[in-house]
Amino acid sequence: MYTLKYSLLALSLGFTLSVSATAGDIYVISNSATKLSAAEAKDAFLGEQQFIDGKPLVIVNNAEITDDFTSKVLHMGTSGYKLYWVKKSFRDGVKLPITKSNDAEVLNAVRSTVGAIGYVTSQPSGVNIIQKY
Amino acid sequence: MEKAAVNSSEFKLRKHIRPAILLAALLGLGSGAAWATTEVEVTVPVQVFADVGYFARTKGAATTTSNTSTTATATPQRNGAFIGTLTLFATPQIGDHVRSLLETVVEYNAAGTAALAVERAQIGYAYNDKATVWFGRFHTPYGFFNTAYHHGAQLTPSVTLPTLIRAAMPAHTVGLWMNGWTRTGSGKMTYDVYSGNATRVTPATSGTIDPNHNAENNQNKNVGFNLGYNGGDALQGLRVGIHAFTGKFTECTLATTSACSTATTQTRVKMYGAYAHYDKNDLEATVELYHYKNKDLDDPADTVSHGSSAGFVQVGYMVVPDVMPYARLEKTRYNTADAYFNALSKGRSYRMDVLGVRYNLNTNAALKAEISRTDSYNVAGISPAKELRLQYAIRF
Repeated sequence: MYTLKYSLLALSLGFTLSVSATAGDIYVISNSATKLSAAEAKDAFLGEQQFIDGKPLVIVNNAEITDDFTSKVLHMGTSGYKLYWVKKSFRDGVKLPITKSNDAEVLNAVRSTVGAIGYVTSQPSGVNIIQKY
Repeated sequence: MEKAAVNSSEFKLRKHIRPAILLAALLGLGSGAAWATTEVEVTVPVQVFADVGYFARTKGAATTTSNTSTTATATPQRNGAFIGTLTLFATPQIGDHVRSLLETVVEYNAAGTAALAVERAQIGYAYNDKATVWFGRFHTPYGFFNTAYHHGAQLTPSVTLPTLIRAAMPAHTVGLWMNGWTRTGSGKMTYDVYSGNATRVTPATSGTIDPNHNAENNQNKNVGFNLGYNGGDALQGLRVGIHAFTGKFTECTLATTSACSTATTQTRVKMYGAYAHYDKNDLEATVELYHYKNKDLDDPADTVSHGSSAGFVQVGYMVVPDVMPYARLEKTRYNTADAYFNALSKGRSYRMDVLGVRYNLNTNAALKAEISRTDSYNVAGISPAKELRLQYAIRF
């Protein structure tokens, strides 16, 4: 079935500043069929790496802990992260991340999508754990 | 006998028809199989950039009419609100590998005329991170600023962009572009290679470079490359590179842009450059240097070349959250005998000093204020142009 979805970038990304930034662990995860290193995952979250083994990556942001993730893993603020992706999209036309509301939705998306990578706050099952921060 | 003759005719007919029928059947079967396609999901992220503002230029500021002019024309004082650029930008994702980038802009020129332009229309295929191929109209990948900050006022750190990278260089190419990167230790080597229609200036383009959208007409292609390095770990945020470009440039005398059979001048443009850009934490800094060695193709002896140089440095630092003062110095020294620069309305040697400040109202809106002073070279006794710009830019 041919599906056409239209979205305004800023709204469809659903980036929101996390109201309560958690200071706990962050697990960067990937779909069980998708293997990549921590460095590759970091590049993927920065839009630099878009493929692994010739297959496209799907970046899944977690709205609940975006602040913590961008600070701890990418060493930038959430505002800078959002602007970074806008610039990346404007310059290179890259495929944009999707955003899920919480750990459960992120886990569900990563488990069900080959090529998906995301981050959650508790040790998950059914996915690859790339790195714990 | 008659029957045998009929039989003979039928045999001959069958002999011709049978292969034809077989071929038709194969075509029918082949048609059905050939039209089978992979269904894909298409998403179309769309962004809009818009800006408005206020502009003032001091009375008595002057501009030269050309790079060879030693006299100046007084520039009218200007003082008032302006509508900036409305940019509609879409990046349709068509399946896993097909890429596209479509950008249209509407803006008013200095004469007050609105113009709608297809700024970019590029369709590509991303094989992997090492190779993405684009075809169409794209921002020529020299330096850093031309691809990063070409339009989209809310994205650019400053109100104005360096004049030298927009007005005296082929900022757009219509052709083929391939880019990618490969990991080197903690960093990455990046590359861009491109080839496109040769550029020209015609009376209709008023001294601005025409990238030749409807197939070129001077039998030459522009070619260029950009090699860069993106730092990792401690060098994350640093990007350095070198680039080069060459192409035949034609100054046309015809009143229309449909053809250019009569050239006023022809130049083999050869541009080389290097750049560095750093963007991390609170600091954003860029330096770009360009050198030209343009060959005069109208020289019967085929020995004349002209050297020119240009460059800029821009630094911004966020002193407190959301407030970033910035400064920029631009300088160009274009050879007055170079027909390429003389054909361009902005191909004039100058020095421009810029000071400004940007305040982020939120992640999608910014206020900027900028003052600048422009000194035109080769002109004596002329007061420099001093300008003030206030800009309110949004993105959604």
